[in-house]
Amino acid sequence: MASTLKKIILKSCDGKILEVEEAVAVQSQMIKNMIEDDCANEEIPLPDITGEILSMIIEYCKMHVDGENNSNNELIARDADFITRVDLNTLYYLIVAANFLNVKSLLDLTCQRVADIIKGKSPEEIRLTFNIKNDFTPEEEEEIRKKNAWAFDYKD
Amino acid sequence: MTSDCPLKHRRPLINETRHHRIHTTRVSSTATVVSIANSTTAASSARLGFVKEMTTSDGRTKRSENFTERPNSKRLQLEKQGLSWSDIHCDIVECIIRYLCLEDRIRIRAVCKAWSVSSRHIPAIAAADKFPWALKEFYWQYGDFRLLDPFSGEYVREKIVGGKECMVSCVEKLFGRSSTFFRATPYASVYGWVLFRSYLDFGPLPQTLLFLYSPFTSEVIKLPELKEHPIPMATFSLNATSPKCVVFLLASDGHKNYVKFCSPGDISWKSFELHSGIKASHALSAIYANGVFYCFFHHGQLVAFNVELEEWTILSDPSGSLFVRGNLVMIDADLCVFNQYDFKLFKFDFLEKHWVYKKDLNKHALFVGCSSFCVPAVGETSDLADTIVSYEKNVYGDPLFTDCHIRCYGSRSSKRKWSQKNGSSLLRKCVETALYALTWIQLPSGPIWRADDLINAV
Repeated sequence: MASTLKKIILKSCDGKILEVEEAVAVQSQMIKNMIEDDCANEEIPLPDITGEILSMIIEYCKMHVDGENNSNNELIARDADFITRVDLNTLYYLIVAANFLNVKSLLDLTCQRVADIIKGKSPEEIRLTFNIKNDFTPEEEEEIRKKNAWAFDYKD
Repeated sequence: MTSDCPLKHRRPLINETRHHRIHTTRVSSTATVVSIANSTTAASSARLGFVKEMTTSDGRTKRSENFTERPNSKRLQLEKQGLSWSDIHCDIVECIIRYLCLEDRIRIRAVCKAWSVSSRHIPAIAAADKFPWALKEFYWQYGDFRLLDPFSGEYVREKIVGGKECMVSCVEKLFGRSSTFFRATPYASVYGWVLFRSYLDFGPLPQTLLFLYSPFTSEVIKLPELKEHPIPMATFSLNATSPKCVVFLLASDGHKNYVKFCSPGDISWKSFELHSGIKASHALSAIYANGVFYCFFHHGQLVAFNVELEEWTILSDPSGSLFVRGNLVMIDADLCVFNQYDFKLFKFDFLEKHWVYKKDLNKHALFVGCSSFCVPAVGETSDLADTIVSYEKNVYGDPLFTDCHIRCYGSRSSKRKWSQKNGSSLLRKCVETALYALTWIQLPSGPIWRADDLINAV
C-alpha cells in the first residue's frame, strides 16, 4: 500500500537525499505549490537547508500528519516537546527553513518560541542571547529609548 | 525506454535514501542532543560573555567530524563568526513580534537596526493587546499613578522616571504651584493620552484647569486658561496616523453657551457661540470621528461640530427617550451611544437621523468609562464577547463606593451588578480593573506621541 503513495524527493544543501510521503511534504506550502505546478517529479534541491534541519522539519511534519486525529491538546504538548528540545542555533535554521518552505504551523511554533525567549528581556539581554551586534550610535539608541521611555525605564 | 532510465536510476537511489534516512535520523537525533548540550553551555557562556571562544573551540571539533563535505556552507561561515539573529529576514521578525506584548515590541526596537525597521509598522496586534489598560490613582500632590493591565492584573507602569520629585516639579513648572491640586479627574482618554481637569477653588473665582497627560511618556501639556467654570464636557482628537490633536469642549458663562477648540501649544481657545437653545450644561458625552466632534445631549439630541469648517449641525432633536448618562462610542464605523440608565446601546442612523436600538455587540466587548472603547473579543479574549463592562465613580472615586455593572448579551438580565460568583476569570479581572480605574487607556497601536509631537503637529 505504502508503495503506491507518491513520494517527494528532497535534497539538502549538504547533499542528503530524503524521501518523503506526499501527505507529509505538502505541509510545506512551497512544495505543495510545486506539486500542483507539476514541478516535483524530480528531486527538489533545497540550497539553504542542511540535512539535519530538513530531517527535523520532516519529523515535525510527520508528527502533524500522524497526529491529525489526536486531540488538539495532545498536538500542542507534542509541539511543545519538539520545540523545547531545540537549541537557539538550531532554532535559527529551523525558522529560516520553515519560512522558506512555508510550513505555517512550524513557523508559528518557532516564532512563538523566539518570542517567549525575548519576553521581559532588556535590549542588552536580547542582544547577548541572540548574538546581535548593537549597530546604533549612542545618540540613535538614546533617541529610541527617549521615544518610548515608558517601555525602558524600569528595565535596565 | 526513456521511462526506464529514471526508474533504474531511482531504484537504488530510493534504497539508498531509505537507508540514509534512518541513518540521518539517528545522526540528527544524536546531533540534536549534542547541540542542545552544546548550546546550553554556549548559551550560558554567551550570557557570561564567552561567545567567541566557545563557538570556535567547540564548533571546530564538531565541524571536522560532521561537516567536512561542505566547507563553504553559509552555516559554517555564520558559526565561525557566531550565529547572529540580526540578519534574519524581516518577515520572520514581524512574525515573532506578533507574539510579543506591546512593551516587548517596543523594547526590541532598541536591539538593532534590522529589528527596529521592521517593527516600525507593528503587525496586527494579538487580541489581548487591543484591550484597554486602566489608569488608576492619579494624585497630583504625590505624583502617584499606576497603569494596570487587566489581563495580567499587574501594574505595568508604576513609577515613572524620576518618580515623585519629577512629577511635582513638572506640575510646579506648568502651573506655578503643586500643593493646590486636588485629585485630577479625567474627561477623556484617546490613543494613550488623557485629558484631565483639576479645580482650583481658592481665590476670587473657581477655575478649571485642563491638561493632557500621557502615562506612556509621563509628560504633561498644560492647556490655555479658561474663564468659564465648570466645564461639563470635553474631549480631544488623536490617532495613530498623525500627532495632530484638537481639544474640544462646551462651556457656558451663565448667559451664553460656547464651543471651544484649541490644540496643544496654542495660547488661547477658539470660541464659537451656540444658538438654537443648545445648553452646554446638558451635554453628556462627546467623541471625535472622521474630522467631526459629535456631542450628545440630554434626551438624545446629537450635534456635530466640524473643526475645519468651523461649523456645527444639529443631527437629531431631543427625543422622548430618557438618557441620564449617555456615552458615545464608535463601534466599528458606527456612532453609538450607551445609555447607563438602562444599559442599552443605540446606533445612530445618519439617513433617518434617529437612534436605533442595537440588539447585539457582534462579538465585541465594550468598556465604558469617561471614554469608552469597543474592541473585538476574539481568540484568547473570546470569553468577553458581547459583554459590556461599565463602572460609575462617585465623587471621591473610591473603589469601595464604585459600582461596576456588566451586561452580557444572550443572558436574560439586561443589567446586573457585578458579583464575584459569575463570569469567567477574564471577565473577573476586567471588572476588578474597572473598579479601581480612573479611565481606560487605549494602548497606542503605532507610534507613541510625545508632548513635542502634539505641540508641533500641523
